[in-house]
Amino acid sequence: MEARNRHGLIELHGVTHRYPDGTEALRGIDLTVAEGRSLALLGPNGAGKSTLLLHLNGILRPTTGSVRVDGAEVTSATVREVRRKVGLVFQDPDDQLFMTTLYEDVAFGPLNGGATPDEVDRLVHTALHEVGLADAASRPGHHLSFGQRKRAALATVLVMEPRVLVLDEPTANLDPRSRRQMVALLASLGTTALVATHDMDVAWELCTDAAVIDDGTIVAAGPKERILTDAALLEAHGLEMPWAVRTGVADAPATIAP
Amino acid sequence: MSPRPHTHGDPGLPGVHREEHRHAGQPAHRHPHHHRAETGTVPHEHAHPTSFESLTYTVSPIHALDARTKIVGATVLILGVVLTPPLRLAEALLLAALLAALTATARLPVGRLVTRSAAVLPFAGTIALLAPLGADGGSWNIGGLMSAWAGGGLLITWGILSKAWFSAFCMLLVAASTRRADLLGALRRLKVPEVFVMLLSFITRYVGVLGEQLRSLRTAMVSRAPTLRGRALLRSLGSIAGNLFVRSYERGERIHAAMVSRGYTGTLPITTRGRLRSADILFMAMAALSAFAIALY
Repeated sequence: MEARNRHGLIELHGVTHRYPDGTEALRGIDLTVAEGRSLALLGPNGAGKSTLLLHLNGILRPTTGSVRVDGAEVTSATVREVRRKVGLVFQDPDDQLFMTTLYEDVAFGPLNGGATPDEVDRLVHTALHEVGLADAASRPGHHLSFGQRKRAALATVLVMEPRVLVLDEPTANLDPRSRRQMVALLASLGTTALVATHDMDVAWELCTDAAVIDDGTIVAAGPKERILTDAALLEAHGLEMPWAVRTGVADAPATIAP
Repeated sequence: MSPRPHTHGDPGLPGVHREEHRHAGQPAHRHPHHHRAETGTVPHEHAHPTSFESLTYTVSPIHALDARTKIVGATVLILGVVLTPPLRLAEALLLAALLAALTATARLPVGRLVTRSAAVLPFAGTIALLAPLGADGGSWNIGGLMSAWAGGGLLITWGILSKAWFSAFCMLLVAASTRRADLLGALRRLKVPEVFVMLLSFITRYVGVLGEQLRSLRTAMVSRAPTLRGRALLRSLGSIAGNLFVRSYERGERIHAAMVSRGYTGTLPITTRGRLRSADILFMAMAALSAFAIALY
């Protein structure tokens, strides 16, 4: 895998995870996200994507194997630092917007990090501008549209200025216009990222690399030009080629990666 | 219900600014936005004419008061009402006039507040109806309500009902004139235990989400079994409740994961600021005076 030649911002080695009920969700994952790259994590429902994402900032710990972020293994001692570096955006924005106003939701991370009120004001200002919700600061989460909530959830993580952005289904359930807005927004970020998605077009448009996960193992990983054009591989794991590839519109637009 | 008057972000008020600023590659522009929930400065984009919460976006002198003022004022007034013997007509009229004046000043719909606060009556009523039967050596049967010596007991009934209703109306005035975030911030600043405020805050945030899930589960049930009745219906409702419980439990876990991801260590950070102004002091003084007047008269 090309990405492995560079410094890996996130490195997983032989990660397995067994839930308390005995389900083996991950069976030996080796995966690297290099600095400056964006990786699409593709796989059918129940392949272990969400379990994998929760390992990246130490919410779940591997049963065996190791997760390293910026060179340091994720342990109880390093987990706070890891969470500052890895910004995890959940699929359902209602899980991420739990405070009473959008301002409070975005300010939550910086305040927990010990920022001063004036600093928090500045950070929230920038983050809300970045996602185009500056005028909604005092609105409660449930008064925002679903597309706005998705962007708001992104802002709550962007405000912490993470080294790597981890997105779980950033475009799921969005209407075409909100989806376009989200893709354009993500493309403008210029950050290292890992995007778990079913949306093959998003993977094609936003990422530099792709990895296919099925039944708890990584079955293929590499540059997207190789993975996303391999019809047989994708078909075998319940996926399909991106629309742009199928129709021969080969030039991929801007990616999240810088 | 007619739409309530809303503000659209007054540039002269604190918390909203129209400073020019610039985004990468774009010309400078200015637009109002604000960074902190501050009473009375809400640029309001859409109307929600039906929900009770929409009343809290109304602009009025009462809405502009600090949330702490309103909570303390209402509590003092309620204490005054509760500690007095059953209200005499003059007292009741005075109180009604006071509440009517407050409602009018707050530009809130009286009818709606009256109906909503009446929800307390069934609860208070149960206790109130039993009171005369035991008072003054009364007898525990229906005859006890009719007899000559039930007069004292009926007075107690009136006392319980009127006090319960006046108290409910006071609290409702606070709830209808204070935005949820301000209310929770004020409770926290009034040193209400953190766990309690956090619980309330999650309830306000997720009651709508839960309601939405319940509605879609019920719709799904009704569309498959429109004629369900009796035991079968009860059984289905039971499994809906179970389903909702499991989903809420899982959501709780996901929310906790989202909180922990952003550095949560056990206390919600406070963001509400704002000072008590002279209007707030005056309001609390008036509430205290009214409470004393009613309690001592």
